[in-house]
Order: sequence, then structure tokens, then C-alpha cells
Amino acid sequence: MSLAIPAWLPLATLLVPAAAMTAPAVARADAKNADCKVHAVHVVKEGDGTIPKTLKFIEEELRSDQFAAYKGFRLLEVKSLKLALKKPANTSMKTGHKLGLSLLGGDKRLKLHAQLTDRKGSGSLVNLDYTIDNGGVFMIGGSKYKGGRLFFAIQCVGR
Amino acid sequence: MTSSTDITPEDLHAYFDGELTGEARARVEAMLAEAPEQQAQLDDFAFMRGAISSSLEEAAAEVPQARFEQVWDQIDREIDREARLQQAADSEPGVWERVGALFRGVRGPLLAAGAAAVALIVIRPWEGGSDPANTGGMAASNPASEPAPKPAPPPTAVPTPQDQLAQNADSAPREAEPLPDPERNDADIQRIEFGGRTGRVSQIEGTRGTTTVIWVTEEEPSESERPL
Repeated sequence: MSLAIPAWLPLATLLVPAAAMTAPAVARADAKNADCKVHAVHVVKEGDGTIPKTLKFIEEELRSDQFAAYKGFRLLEVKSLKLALKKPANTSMKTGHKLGLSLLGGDKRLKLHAQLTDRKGSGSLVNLDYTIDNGGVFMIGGSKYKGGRLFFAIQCVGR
Repeated sequence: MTSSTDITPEDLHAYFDGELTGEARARVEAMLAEAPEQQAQLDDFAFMRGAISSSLEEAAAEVPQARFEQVWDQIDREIDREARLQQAADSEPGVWERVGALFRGVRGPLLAAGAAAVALIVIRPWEGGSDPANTGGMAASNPASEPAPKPAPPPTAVPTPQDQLAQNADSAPREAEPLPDPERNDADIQRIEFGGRTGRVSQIEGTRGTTTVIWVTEEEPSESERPL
């Protein structure tokens, strides 16, 4: 017995995953947890403009006009944070800065709270609430550091 | 006799600004000695200059050092951007750009033809699958003389950012872990406080939407990078 496969099936097999890949990412409904990564990035004016492989995920940003004055890019460290709903998690960076993140909610987009404390630990540099697509990158920085500037790229994925 | 009308306003301004030298300066000074009206005008200039510069200095004193540095950085970025644009404009087009320019007019039809060809390659074998006699088109083959096709591998699910993060969490070392490529970066800031220091919010337009960058101000413990 031969099984007839409709002509449209292979096409649909191709198109459906393609459509799924192009659809904007949304947080899983009512995310109760989130896994976050914080990349500490050091940018300096001297350098050949090479962006290390570990920073390729923000290459577009680092090549933008905002960072046009900088030619050297270096990943200082990566920290992972596991967030539970409305339970703040904090991490100390080796630069002395402290970053606190909290998952405030996650319906279609993640709602997060972030607070960056200065390297002396004495004061808040910025304190904000924001919403972002699942897996989206948000950057905080500008502090002077070793002849350049320091940036933190924050990326969270809801679960 | 020297008259004050011999001193033109241009001479007076140039003298006041210290732009005259030698003979010209001596000439104006000699004329000013006999022209009290012009001398009074010079005094007015000096008074106005003092008033303006002191008010500007006061205003500048109220602007934090960090703000000046932000402005310098912005100027640097602008200069660098202009230089890059100029460099791009001056550079010779590459081989691919020239090839692209060659086909610019027919790019659409070429792409459509390519897509149609790919669709044919994909669809035709399936159509002939139930009828070995049907071996037309690019899928022509003799199923009887060929080994049975291998079963297709199980469909590979498109990795979600969650899966990639989980995968990365298991791989070492942390510093070398790649992040999952973000799909959209658009963020909405609902509340923000800059902790009493200056700061600003900027946005970078890109292929993944708009990436938000919060610029804060924090000095290094040592001396400032850029003395003003």
C-alpha cells in the first residue's frame, strides 16, 4: 500500500517553523522564574575594533554610534542569576559594583527591576523597572573604569 | 587734528579684542587719547565682557564635571561617526558590491526564480513518491535500482532561548559561555531613578529592534580622565 503525501505538506513543513522563528519571542505565560546573565564589558578608546566572540551577541550595539568612540572591547566577567518571582537576587561584580535584579512579573513580556550600586557600595547609580521581551538584552553602564567605561549587559529568560 | 570719527567701529573692536599690533595699535591708541567718547565706549565693552563672562562662569560652575565629560564623549562619538561615514564614502566598492550593482535591476526576478527552483526541488520528489514510474523533473531517479531512502532524522526542534541558556549553564567555563542570540531587545522603562547623579537613557536601533542603554555617571576613585 502506498501512502500519498499531499504536495503542500513539505511546503508547510518548511513554512511553519520559519514562521515560528520569525515571530517575536514572548515570555512564557506567567513566568514564575527567570534565568539571567550579566556580562560585564570594558570598553576603551584604544584598540583595533575587534569584538571578542564572547561579546558577539551585542556586536551590533558595540558597533553603533553610541559606542563609536570605543575601539577596544573586553569581557570582564559573566554572572548568572536565578530569579524567583518578586524575590530580589543580588550579585557582586569584581569591579566592586553590585547588581540587584528582581522578576516582577512575566505575562507576555518579562517585567524586571534592576538596581546598580556604585563600586564603593555606598550609593545607587540607577534604579529602574522595565519590561522586555524574553531573552532581550538591556544595557546599563558608563562608569569610568581603567581608562575606559564599564557596561553591564543584562539578559533574562523567563521559565 | 585727530577726530574720533577716524576710529572706525572695526578698529575699536579689533583694539578691544587685542587684535591690533604695532603701528595700527599705536595709531588707535593715539586717536583714543583725544577721543573721550570712544574711550567711554571701550569702558562699556569691558563692563559688558565682565558681566557676560562672570555669568557664564557661574552657570558653568553649576554643571557637574561629569556632564562636561558626557558632552566630550558625545563630541568624540560625533567626530568618529563622521570619520567613519567619510571613510565608507571614500572606500572603493568591493567585488560583491559591484556584482550586486550589476544585478540590481533584476534582483527581484532572480530571487523569485531561485525560490521557485528550491520549491521544485523540495516538492517534486514527494509528488513522485507513491508512483515509481513518475520520475520527471529534477527528482528523476529509479527507486527500484536504488537502496531505500534512509528514514528521515527526527525533526530538530528550534532551540528556544531557554534551552540555549540551560545548555550554556552546563558548559564550562562561565566566561566562555555564549548567550543565546537575543531575538528582540525592545524594552519599556516604567520607572527610573539615577541615585542623585546624572544619567541618561539612549536607544540603539538595530536588527533586533531597539536596544536600551542606560548611561550612568560614576567617577573612578582616581583623578578624572579628562581635565577641563
